[in-house]
Amino acid sequence: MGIEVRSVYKRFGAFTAVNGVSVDIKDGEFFVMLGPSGCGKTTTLRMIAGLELPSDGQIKINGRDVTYEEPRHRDIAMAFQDYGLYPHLSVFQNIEFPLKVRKIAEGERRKKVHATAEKLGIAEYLNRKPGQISGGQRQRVSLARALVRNPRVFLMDEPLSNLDAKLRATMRTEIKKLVTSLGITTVYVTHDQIEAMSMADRIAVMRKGDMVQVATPLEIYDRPRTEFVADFIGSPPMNLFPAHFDRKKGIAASVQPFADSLSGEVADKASSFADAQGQFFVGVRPEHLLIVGDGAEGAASASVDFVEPLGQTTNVYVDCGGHKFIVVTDRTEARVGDVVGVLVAPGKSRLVAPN
Amino acid sequence: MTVSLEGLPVATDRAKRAGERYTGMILLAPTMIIMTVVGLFPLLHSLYMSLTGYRPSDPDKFQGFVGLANYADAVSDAQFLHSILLTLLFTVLSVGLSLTLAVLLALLFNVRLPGFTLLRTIIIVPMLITPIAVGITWRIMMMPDLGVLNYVLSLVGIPPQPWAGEKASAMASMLLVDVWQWTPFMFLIIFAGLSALPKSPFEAAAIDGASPIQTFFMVTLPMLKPVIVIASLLRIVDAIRTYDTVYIITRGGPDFATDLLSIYLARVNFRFFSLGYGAALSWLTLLIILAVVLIFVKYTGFMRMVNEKEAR
Repeated sequence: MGIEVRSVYKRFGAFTAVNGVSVDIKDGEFFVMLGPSGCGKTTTLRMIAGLELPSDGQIKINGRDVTYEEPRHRDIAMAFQDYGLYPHLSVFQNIEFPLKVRKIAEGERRKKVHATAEKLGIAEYLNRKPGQISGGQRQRVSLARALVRNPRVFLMDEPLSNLDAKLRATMRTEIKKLVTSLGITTVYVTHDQIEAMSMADRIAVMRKGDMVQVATPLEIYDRPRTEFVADFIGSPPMNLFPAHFDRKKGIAASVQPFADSLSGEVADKASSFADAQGQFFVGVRPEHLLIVGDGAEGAASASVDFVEPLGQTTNVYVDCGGHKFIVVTDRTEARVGDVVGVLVAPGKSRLVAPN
Repeated sequence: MTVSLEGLPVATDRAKRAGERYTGMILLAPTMIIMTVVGLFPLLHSLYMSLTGYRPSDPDKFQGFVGLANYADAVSDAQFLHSILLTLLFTVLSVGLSLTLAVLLALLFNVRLPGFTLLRTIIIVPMLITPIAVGITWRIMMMPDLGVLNYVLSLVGIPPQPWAGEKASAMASMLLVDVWQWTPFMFLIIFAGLSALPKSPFEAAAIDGASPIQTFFMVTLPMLKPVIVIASLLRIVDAIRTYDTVYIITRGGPDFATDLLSIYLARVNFRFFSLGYGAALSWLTLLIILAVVLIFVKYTGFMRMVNEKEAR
């Protein structure tokens, strides 16, 4: 069941915010929509919530067509980036609100509010107003308010982006644990790749209103489908080497040894990644490049531009005939100006489509 | 030899601060002097006058210091008590009606349909007109035989109304004019307040399952409360002092049906020239306004709201 999104469009005048998105989100799945600002991820979420109506397309929640249904009839809960708490109500009353408007008896309301507050560790703040607690506590209140009535679907719009880095990291694991243990279908919007990677069962990477790739976090990391995904996920990002595919001449790349390192099986698929002009990229993660002696077999010869020791790893910026890229390695003897050989770890070069 | 510099910065700091305070006082002095002359002096003088039997029109009967006699007279002055009750009734109804209308209008305009910007500007117009002009316009419109109001009523088959001309309908007519003129003011403040509210609590309410009516009473209205309280406070003080329009249309009549406090006060002061007694009545009016405002502030928890805002 879960959530079915069928060729959904959202247009604001001449601008298309969401460009025919289709995706099936499975029951109980933690689904993350990831992308830079303006990519349509929040608009897609708001259409699932019913806060925006699609210009075209269909949305089903648990098998029921809710495309034009009001939010309150969708049996969903939502957490907002700025928490969306009711400033005039106490924490208790905030959490109680969804139960109260549904006319649930007072005794039961009280029991549920206390149980939920307990679970989220905010029981001691129940009498405070949202203005009197910290950002992290406010986000917990908004989660408690969402969870108090056991929704089938939980939508989260960048819930952690107003928190500091340390709190973000702990809340990340807490949220993931909580919704997984409750088995709620969750759609989570973020621009933070670490949140997406660490929390998601599946990630949808969005760009300019399109879902570019929908896959598990490791699949996205290991096999980014396009230039955009390769560049957006991973820090430092994947090295992309412009390449050209020709049926007769085979693959020609800016750094030829990397193209040659593609296994025959992978190279056969090049035509499906290349655009009409035969252009595509050979992509290699920086940590899958090895620095070896210059002239080693199969290695590309490159000069070292800059060395950035980070302690655990070292970023080595190299230049191979004008093509600059990054190698992430352990500690290295390489110095600026050295000429070294760079080798791809076996089976680690990828085909990446242009945008 | 070593010189201890300990304490020196503190001393200069203190000297500097004293100097700053001195400069501040000099800069403030002109304003303070003017305020004292045009504000405080007349105020204190009127307080003194209220303790005398001062009547410039009748020098022979000039009475000197009479103590609290004017105040004692006022308390048993049936006309004065009538005016107080009338004014309180007028204030409650006028503020209540214009507040209700203003909130409804603000909600309507918050939908933001095309053409609403122009309509919003038109709605503001009544509060921009001089009260005297408002009074004259309405007086003409309310004329029983020539006025446009009765003409409009006749179009839909309603018999002509006496409007301000009869005791029974005079007060209602004055309320109509006051609400017409001052609803825009309330609307403007409340609409601005409504536009400034954060969006997400309303979206949260929609998702939490609240119906539009539940959202209005449980989210919109409480969040608007600070704005509503301030707008009402300003209107209450203003309504108690209503003078121009009512004076132009009815002069307090017929048969004292619209004899508001300020109209009675003006009559005592400038028709009877009982300036001493008038001053006493003015001070009592001030006390009434203060009492009303204090009750209102206490009842609405206004100070608590202000403190909470500051605490944040």
